[in-house]
Amino acid sequence: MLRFLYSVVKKAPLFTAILLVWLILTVLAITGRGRAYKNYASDYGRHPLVSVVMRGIHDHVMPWTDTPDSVQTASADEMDNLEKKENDEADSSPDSGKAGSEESPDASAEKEKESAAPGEGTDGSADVKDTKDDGAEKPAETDEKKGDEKSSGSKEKDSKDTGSEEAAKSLVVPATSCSKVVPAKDYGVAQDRYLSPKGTVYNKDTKGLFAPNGTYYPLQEVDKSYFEDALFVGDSRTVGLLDYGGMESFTSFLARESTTVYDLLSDSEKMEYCPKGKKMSERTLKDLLTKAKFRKIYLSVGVNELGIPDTLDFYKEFRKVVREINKMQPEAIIYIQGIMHVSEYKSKKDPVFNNTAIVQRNQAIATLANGRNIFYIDMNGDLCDQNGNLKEDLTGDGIHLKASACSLWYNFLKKNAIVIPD
Amino acid sequence: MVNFSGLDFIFRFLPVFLLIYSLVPSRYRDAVLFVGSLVFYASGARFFVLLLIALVFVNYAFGDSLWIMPGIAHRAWHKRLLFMIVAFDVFVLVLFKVLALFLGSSLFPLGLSFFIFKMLSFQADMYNGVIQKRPDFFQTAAYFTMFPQVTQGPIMRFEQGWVERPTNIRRRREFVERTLSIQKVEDGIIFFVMGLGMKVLIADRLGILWNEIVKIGFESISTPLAWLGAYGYSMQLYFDFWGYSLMAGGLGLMLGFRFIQNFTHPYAAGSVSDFYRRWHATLGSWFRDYIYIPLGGSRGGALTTIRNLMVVWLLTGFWHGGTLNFVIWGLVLGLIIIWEKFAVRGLLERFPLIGHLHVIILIPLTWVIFAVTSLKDLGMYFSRLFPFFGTGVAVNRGDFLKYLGIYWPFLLFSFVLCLPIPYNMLVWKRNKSPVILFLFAVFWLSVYFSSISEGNPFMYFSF
Repeated sequence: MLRFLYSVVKKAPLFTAILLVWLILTVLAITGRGRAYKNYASDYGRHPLVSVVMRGIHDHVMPWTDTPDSVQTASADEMDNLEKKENDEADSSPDSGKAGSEESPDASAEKEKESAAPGEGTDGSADVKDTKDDGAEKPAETDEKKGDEKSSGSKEKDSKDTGSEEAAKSLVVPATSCSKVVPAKDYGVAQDRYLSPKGTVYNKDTKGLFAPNGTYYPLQEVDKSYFEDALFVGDSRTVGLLDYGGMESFTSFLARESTTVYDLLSDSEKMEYCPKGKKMSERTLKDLLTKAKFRKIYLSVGVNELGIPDTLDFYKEFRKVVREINKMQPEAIIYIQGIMHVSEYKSKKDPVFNNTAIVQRNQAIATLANGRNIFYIDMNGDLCDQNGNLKEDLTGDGIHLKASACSLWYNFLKKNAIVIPD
Repeated sequence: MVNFSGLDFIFRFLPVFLLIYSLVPSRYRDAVLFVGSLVFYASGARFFVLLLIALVFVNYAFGDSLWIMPGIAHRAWHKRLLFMIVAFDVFVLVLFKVLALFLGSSLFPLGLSFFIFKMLSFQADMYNGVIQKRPDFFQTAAYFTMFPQVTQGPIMRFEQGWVERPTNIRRRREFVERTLSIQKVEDGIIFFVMGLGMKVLIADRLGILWNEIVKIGFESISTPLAWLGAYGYSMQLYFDFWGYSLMAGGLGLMLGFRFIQNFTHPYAAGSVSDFYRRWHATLGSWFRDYIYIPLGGSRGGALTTIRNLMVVWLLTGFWHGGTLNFVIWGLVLGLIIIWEKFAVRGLLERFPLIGHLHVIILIPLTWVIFAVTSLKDLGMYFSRLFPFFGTGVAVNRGDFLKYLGIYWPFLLFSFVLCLPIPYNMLVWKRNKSPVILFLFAVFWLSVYFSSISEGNPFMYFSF
């Protein structure tokens, strides 16, 4: 037996070495299951076990890493569960949406939780509510699921149409200081796991930073000097704007390919900082915002996140990032740029990168705008066809603006700016 | 699973299949190979597997009827049968090419171009008596469908896989049994790992450069970037296909077949004609044996030769794709080869450097024609390569340095591997421990890159 093994090793060293390491990695993946690799639970079974270890290495998780129970994830999961439970119950009584005045015990429990939460401190729980909490507002999610063009993001309009009470009206950001979320045709290819949990509705926040308070600034046209104290933060699309938008000499960029909203507050994920055409350097957003001051901060992320489940999680993270940026630069205007749509070719067949998911995520982050210092602007109206697909002649790969089309983005920004009087 | 560089193939299909294949008695191995290959094919091509099975049965039936004892003359109906099956196979291929052209490429069955060509060569070889021992069903079926070759070739001939030898009885032939051994598995893995590394570590990385250029839009790239793109794409295509062919050859070795050589350092060729004897050689020799020579080859005078060359290259263009750019690509190559054969032959013989320059400058330009399917975009790309035909829009002059800064290591490495010596040294010294260690690292690095990009679309397509 030993002699046989010896001869195998001698005759086939590469085969033996690969086999051996494969076995070791497989054992590591099995023993690390639920421990070091607790965040990879969905990979087990779907992929060969070695890939779990490899992905771990990529995320700096080693078999011996002591992965803590991420507090945030756990609480988010609990919250998801809570919402789903509520939704299930809501689903069981079909007309609960109309019965706005009658509060079920669950709904009042939710109300209690809200009021008990200390205003700004609640993360996500206050504004992600069940439909029965507010009969006046339409559940955008269910509209969209029907699979036609109806992905209406104009909640303001809806609530106006239905004519809700005075108090709710005063909390609506007027259309003059907020872009409409541009809708797009749903081709029915979007995978559910990347979308919102069923029945989730993104309502306007009524408390704290994200709540409107009656002060609204209108969007207006500006010239290029406006961008001198602005910072553009984003992914490869923003890199494209830097390289081809013609703005690099008078405005600042902090961007990197494949950046996601989950990277923005990280202390390790550096991006390329390019201040007004000067020498580039590697900086993190936190580092930059604590050292330099900007009056306008433009955020453009969200396309890479389409592959990370799900919309609700994206929304929560986005909210956190906006809050942090506001904390670091309280005087800056924060522009939430709607995620640019993809081309029809892409949107028709891609289960991840499609406009159904993009519109849903835009609807979610648009609710963060307060018309006072946080604004939602959506350039898709200028770039898309009547079905909400990015026009094919503006894009080479279906995802990015071609170099020659980047000036359209700049023109949109010039026409949709906020001027706050000193 | 249908992708050799995918983890499902490497860690699931391949080990399970090899284990079964090596444990069953050798007389069942062709049947196991056939069934395993159908599973493999179905995992990627889904219901097209039914088409493959149907083609296997039809082609076996016809091929079997075409077979004649060595030394016996053909009957008239042999020729009719041959004509029928060739017409049928060609019809199926053309039909799906047309469907793909008008209704979308998802209607084109995976690997159809390759296994139809195997079927055609099989019929011709049966008719011409090249195959002297009558193959049984599972041999034929395994030949048509064998998973190392079903998706992208190489277009092995039947007699290369099922080797014959004479027996004691006059005119009788028998098949040489394929033997398995641990050395063959080791050699197979060595070639497989070399191919895997070329595909994952070089071709897939360089592929991102081409995507960047498409993303920017051809009208906005600087001339140096246009040339960088042409070379980057050429290297991507080369290492993708050579890597794939090495993996296929390695898998064949593990199964007891001989190594099928598909690439022999084409970029070291001394002329464009020589380049295509070394590039995708099994396709080139297929066209030579089943089209060029039956048409009369180069024996009928200059005009016939020119006609035959143009026919072959036009068909080669069509075989690669239905759109007009592939036709142009084939025509241009045909013209270059005719030019070399008739106009500058003496010059090339006296100054070999000119031939090498032909390859190094012309070939990447022809790959641009291959890459860009829209004629308008193609014209735009060439006007950026040669900017005296027009100016660009919103060109960023720094683009070349930006992308060279990112991709130079991959380009440098591909340049080194274009030279015959480094690769030949690796193959020659493949049993020495430094090479083993190197390949071990290449394997796990490739697996690492495959892991983080697979089933995780946003990792691979990160924007």
